[in-house]
Amino acid sequence: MKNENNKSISKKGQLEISFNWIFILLAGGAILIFFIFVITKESDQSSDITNYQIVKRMDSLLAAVEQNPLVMKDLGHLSSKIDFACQDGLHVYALKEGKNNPELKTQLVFTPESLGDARLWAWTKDYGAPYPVSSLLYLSDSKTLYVFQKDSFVITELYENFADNFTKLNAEISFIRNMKDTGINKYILVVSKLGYQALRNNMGSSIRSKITFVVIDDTNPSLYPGKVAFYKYRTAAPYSIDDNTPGVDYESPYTSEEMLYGAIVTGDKSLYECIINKLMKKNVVVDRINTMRLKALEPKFSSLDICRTFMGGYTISVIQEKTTRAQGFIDDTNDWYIDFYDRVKELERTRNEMLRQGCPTLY
Amino acid sequence: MRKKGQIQNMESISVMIIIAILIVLGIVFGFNQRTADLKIQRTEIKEIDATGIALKAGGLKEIKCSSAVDSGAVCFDYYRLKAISEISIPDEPEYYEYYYGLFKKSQITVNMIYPDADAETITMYEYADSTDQNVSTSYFPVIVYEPVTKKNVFSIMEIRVYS
Repeated sequence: MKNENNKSISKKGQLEISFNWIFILLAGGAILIFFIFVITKESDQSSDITNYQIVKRMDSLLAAVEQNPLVMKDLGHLSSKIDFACQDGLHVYALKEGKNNPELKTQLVFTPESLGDARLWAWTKDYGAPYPVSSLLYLSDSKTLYVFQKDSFVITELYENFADNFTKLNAEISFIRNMKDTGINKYILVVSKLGYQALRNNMGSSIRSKITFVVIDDTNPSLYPGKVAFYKYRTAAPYSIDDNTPGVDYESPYTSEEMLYGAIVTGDKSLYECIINKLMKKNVVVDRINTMRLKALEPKFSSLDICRTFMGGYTISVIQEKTTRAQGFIDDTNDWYIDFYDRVKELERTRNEMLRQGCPTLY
Repeated sequence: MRKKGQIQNMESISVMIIIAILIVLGIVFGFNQRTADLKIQRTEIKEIDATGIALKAGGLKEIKCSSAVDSGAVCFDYYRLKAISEISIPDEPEYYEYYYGLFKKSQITVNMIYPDADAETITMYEYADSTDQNVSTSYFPVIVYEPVTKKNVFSIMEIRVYS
């Protein structure tokens, strides 16, 4: 009897002990799950907030520079890294910890493919074609080095007008050839066709993976309009320069200094073209507004008034042709960028004549 | 002995219940706190948005006065303003989409008030579904220039941001 009682007590004790353990496991598990849930939510939110803040910051920066164009702004040290890319024709950026790649829908921002872990600088320029279209924002950091070839007069001039606070260098071919890695993240070498030929097989292997060549044809009497070529080294062995892959077009068009600086700052063909596509879309919008304005202005003048001739069919047809060229600016099997440039020049002449005749001007 | 065991079980269960209550209270408190924070953040963001939208609208190159006109203030060309109001509508999706990307859920109107007190009001942009209740409104002075009569009209740009 005593034995049986002892047995039942020890069973009860075992039951109590295991109940306590189950309780600890359940309660502990619930608390753990709760905190994991809260922490995950918080980190998701903070990443979303960071994304949102970056877009807002760029947005407000752009809005502010629209009011004060031609400025250079120190944006301080950016501790995180942001990558910019063109994905399926969309201009997107990605934070390392970000899950999605938000799109820069309307912002006309030229940046290298990667920014951050360095001091950030912003530079702006007004772009017109020929009437004002938009302010363009150029962002770069202290670890992106722009090297302009000194032996070329045209490229040296580009160097002189380039953003003062961007990390830049005007150097001769012999110097560029012997450059060593000094902790720079990206080297963008702005060279002539001849300069490129001299450098393409002679760059030091330590910095090859960080180099992009932006090649400008400096032999034309005028730099505008023109085409700029982008060449990089292959990322896999034998790490040779990628400038001869069949079916690959390495060149992109430009018609103004603002666009050419865009090509230099991005140092990447697809990124540059993505932003140029957005700029051309804006051109189409601005063309439409100016066409409507001319149509509204025309009846305000009598048929004998010289001003009426500027508001009529000819000017409107030039604007419409320019719109068509803008829509095919990048996909240019017909070199429409040259036509685009010609229409801009034609509208410039019309505007000057309007001004001379004392008429309301085109811009 | 049995009673002691029962008391111990009851103790464990009540501890579990108290912990559950504390966790629930913590969740409710945390949730309320977060909601309150978000409300404050949302108000702040809306105010910043209104200012940002005003800056963007004021800086739109496509409606600015010609460079030959120096008004010394934010100056809109009357005919460009009229043109933008006609294309930034849902019936013109190509253009509406562009301006939606800039101004999102907002309405921007320019009220021309001086020298003609009953002069017109031009809606530069209007979000298609502007039936939302929460609106924050900001006002900014601008000049509207009529290039034929060469007249400057003092105007107020009204920005309504919907939540």
